[in-house]
Amino acid sequence: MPRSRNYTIAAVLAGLLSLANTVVALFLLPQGSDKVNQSSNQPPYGVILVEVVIGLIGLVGAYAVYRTQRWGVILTLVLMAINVLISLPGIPFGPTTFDKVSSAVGLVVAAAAIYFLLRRDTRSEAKAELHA
Amino acid sequence: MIAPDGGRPVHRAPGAEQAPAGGRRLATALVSLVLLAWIATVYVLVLVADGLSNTHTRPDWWAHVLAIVLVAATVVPVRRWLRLTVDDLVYGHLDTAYTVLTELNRGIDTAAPDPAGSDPTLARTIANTLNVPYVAIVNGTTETSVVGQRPSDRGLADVPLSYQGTEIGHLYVAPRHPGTSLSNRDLRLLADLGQQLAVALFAIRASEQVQDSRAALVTAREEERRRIRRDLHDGLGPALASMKLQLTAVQRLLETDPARAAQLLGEVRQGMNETTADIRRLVYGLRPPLLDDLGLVAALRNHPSAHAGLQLSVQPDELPELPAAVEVALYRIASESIHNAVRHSGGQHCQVSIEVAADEVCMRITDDGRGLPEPLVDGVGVSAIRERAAELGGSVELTSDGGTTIRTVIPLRPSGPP
Repeated sequence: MPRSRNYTIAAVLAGLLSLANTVVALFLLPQGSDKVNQSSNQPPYGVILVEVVIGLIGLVGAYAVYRTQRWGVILTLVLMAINVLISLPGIPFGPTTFDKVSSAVGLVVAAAAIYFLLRRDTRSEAKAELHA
Repeated sequence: MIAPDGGRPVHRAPGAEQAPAGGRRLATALVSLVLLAWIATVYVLVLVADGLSNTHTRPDWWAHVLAIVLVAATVVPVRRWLRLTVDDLVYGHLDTAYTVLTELNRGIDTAAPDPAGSDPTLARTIANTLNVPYVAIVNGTTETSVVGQRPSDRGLADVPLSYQGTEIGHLYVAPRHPGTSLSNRDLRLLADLGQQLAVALFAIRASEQVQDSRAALVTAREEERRRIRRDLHDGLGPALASMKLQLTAVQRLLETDPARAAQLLGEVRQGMNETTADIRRLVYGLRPPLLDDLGLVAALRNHPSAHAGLQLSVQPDELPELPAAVEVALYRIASESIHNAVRHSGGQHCQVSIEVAADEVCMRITDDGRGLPEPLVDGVGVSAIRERAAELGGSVELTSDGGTTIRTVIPLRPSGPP
């Protein structure tokens, strides 16, 4: 079955978001739980751990979406919804402006990924894929 | 019946499997999760917007009201959209097209061979694998396989089934929920399934035609036998019996009344002449003897109709050897066409041209008469011409352009073992 353009876009968005979450969380992890939890500018250590796990699984899911695997789409859908829920508190309660903006960006990217994962192909897109 | 969407009933196919419980739970969980994310996002974004517009530490009461109103206004359409798209995702066959095709092939293999029957195997296979409430496979104008109750035509997917440019039938599939339509992903899968179905239906139809053709051949053979039996029994038999009686009488009268015996002998000879003519007609009916004696071209040139005021020309002078059945068919078709030209065309000339190619023979009969009447209704003669060509898989085309042209094409198949 030909790959949908929607899934390609969703895979790229989910991949970028997961990669960013993973990289940021991996930079914070070596500080240790005590230091992270004592800092008022950083999320709780548990959240960072969850972000690492979600980020790594999200990369796998994004690749599966790119390969048009149904399990990948479902997995990425779940992860992006969780990403939205995790990002939401950061917008009003983020300690710095950078945290608030990054949470907002994460929210927008995750929401866009959900939208493209669930968006039905238009007829013109379907025809274009058939003739591709 | 179940009511998965806003309480509206969905007619499930009788015998069709319900959606697996795991699939339903997964779909519900996904919808709930994404819906929760949506509600939380709307609420938080409204409160954040309120926080940006003033310096209060707590959001205004109207911000909560606005957030609740926005959530209430959007939750139903968003939930419906999620329901549809998540159902497509969970029940659709995003990465299992091969599995669906395998299931369909298995269904084709186990379906009842009688296409006129109402074996729902194929339709049930599609209904189960796509989780749709109604599937109908129409072969020509006959519904060969149906599952479920036909909903309104709105939203009903119509997939034409065609093979080698010939439309075989249609595949009708209802969407999963009333008032919606199948996704383009589903339609693409159905188009792929349709190709498989078209081949299967074509094979079933060809099998049917072969069966009909066999039956027609047997019927024609039996009819021919009956005609020959009737001719022999009702014509030749009584004639010979009559002559036997006359000869007995001649034997008895030979010495007593030679004149009467001579008269009877004359009647016997007359009877023998008539019987000989009957036998000739009978044999001619089986296969025109002129074909064996003179060949197709000369037989046509010597056709009796050719000497009834019409100048007939036949080309070419010689033909390669043709199968006996083709030769007879061409002769009969040409005879009927020339006969029609003499009787109806009013023309002066009639030309017969025969072209033999490697795989077909084409005969064109043209006269310079008044042409065909409008509208043309096939009479007995034209119908017989078409039937003779069709018996050998050929076709007949009648055109009228000044005169009348009858173009007959008969395929030449290499004879081989049956």
